[in-house]
Amino acid sequence: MAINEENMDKIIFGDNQFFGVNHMSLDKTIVESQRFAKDEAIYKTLSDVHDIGINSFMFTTHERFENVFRLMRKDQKFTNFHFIPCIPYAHKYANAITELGIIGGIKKYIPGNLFLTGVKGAVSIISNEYVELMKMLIDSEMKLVEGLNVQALFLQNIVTDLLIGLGMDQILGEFATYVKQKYKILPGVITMNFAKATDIFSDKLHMPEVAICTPINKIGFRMNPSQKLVEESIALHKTPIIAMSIFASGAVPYKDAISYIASLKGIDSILFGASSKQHIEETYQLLNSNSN
Amino acid sequence: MMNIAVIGLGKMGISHLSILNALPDVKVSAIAETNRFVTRVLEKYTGIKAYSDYRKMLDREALDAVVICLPNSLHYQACIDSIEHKVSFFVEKPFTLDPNQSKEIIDKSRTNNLLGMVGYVNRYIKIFQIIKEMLESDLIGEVYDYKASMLGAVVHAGSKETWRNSVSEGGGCLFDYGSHCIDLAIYLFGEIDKVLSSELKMLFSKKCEDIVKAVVSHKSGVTGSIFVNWCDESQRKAYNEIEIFGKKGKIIANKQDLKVFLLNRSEIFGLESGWNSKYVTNYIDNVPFYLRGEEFTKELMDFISSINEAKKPLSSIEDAYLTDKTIKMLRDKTFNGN
Repeated sequence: MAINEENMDKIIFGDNQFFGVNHMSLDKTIVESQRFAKDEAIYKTLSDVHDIGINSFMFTTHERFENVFRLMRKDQKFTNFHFIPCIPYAHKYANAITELGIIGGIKKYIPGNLFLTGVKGAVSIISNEYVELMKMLIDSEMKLVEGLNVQALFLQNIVTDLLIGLGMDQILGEFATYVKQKYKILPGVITMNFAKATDIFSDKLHMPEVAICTPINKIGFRMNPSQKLVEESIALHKTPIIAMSIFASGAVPYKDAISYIASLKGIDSILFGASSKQHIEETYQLLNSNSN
Repeated sequence: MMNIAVIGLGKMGISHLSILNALPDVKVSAIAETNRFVTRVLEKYTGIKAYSDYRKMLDREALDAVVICLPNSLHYQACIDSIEHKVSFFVEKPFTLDPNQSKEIIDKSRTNNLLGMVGYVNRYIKIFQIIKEMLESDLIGEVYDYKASMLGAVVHAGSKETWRNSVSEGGGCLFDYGSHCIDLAIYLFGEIDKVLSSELKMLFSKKCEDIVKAVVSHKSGVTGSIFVNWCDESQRKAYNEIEIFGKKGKIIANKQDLKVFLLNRSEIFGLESGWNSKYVTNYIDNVPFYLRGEEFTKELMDFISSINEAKKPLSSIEDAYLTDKTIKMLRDKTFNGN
């Protein structure tokens, strides 16, 4: 695994379009899921992304990437490309927990073969070594990106926000520490509660290096508790900040979206997704020309 | 500061616990759950006192309210136990498995001056609140029919059977998904007084229905059809949609988007004649703490403010009773023909 201490890129490509995740319409979801029905189509788009000049890809650890990454590992152009996984792929666990219960769900995803790690996993469950269990689940998720140039590892918002609400800051800290120590990469979290998250990492855990990815857009969509408080918190820049949902699923016109982001001092990177090469290129050019 | 406890820490219980713990003016002072793995981890990292038996918790803790997220068949007893301990309660949907039991809870909570609420979260989704306003202001004229549906991918071929797949334990797609669909119809059009047809179909489950098809009639005169399927593999998440036909227009809505067709433009709602599209991004609705959707925070905030202000919550036990009654009517129609 690569050791990478450099800052995150200013522009990062996301993966929602590949899975038809769309906050606006079912029709668009269907169109996109057909466009990316074959793994090769995802690979081809990421190849375009690279050629356009974008050097970072942030994605959830969906099983479909196994094939896509097999293709990317063979392609030399991705040697220095930055891979940024976001874990866990929550639907997988949520479905397993509904069907098998909490312990059954966790057991299902303990890494490696059942005979070897099943024992270690069972011991962790019985002896309440929760942090050990978390580390095993991280290792399990990281298998997907073995041999790739991984720059950072992010926790999905469903888990980040659940832990923030429960007040389990300590576990968030353990996550970040493990990511740094074991994988020598940057830890990060996605959250819909930016103000709380940035306070926890900088003030409570004293880990201001943890990057925070959160919706930031002109209309205040998913900027909780309020757009004003999130803006004030961004200005303090206690941690690295990645803006996502800058177009609020298309609700904010391009130029407005970008001038709003540019007006806020303190945003380090922008995450965006798009389906067609032309759309990706146009967005990239627009973001790039405003990136200062 | 209100003292609250959460009973039952499955997916919904943990989610509600996290939100409550993050809200101001609320103290989560205890939790009750039989799974020791869950209670130990929470006790260790949150310091909240955990019980394996909720009755002991009710005996020992000085609580103002509880949030009950137990399996459906235990809702009734947990509500009764809470009332006996003079504690207000929020119970996850469906309210109970028998409308007579729901009625008993309503009567007892009134006698004891306690507040009860049921977690019908659709009522806290902004787009559904807006269509209610539209209907109340006669935007699409007299409503003559609707189609309500809820789809999801819960049960697959070969799914392991749990209480969720057993009607006698409160499982089945009618209690689980159907209740949401029926509640949304009752929220928008009032009490359902007749079931015109009802079919409960099994697909993969052995002890419960997987598909519900029904035609109902409301006291207000509106009729509508309900279609529920929890074996739809095309759905990434549970998906609720309603299409409402009025004499002057039509509304199609789900939690993300809203389409309105109007014969005449409306200044009040800022809508043109013909088709109008609105999205969730048109109705920004930020919350003090976000987990899985604004609506989950808003329903718990309504529960707390309803206790504090002694007002009726948007998702009251009285309305949830109407849903329980409708569910029973659907089963009676399917199996007894009346």
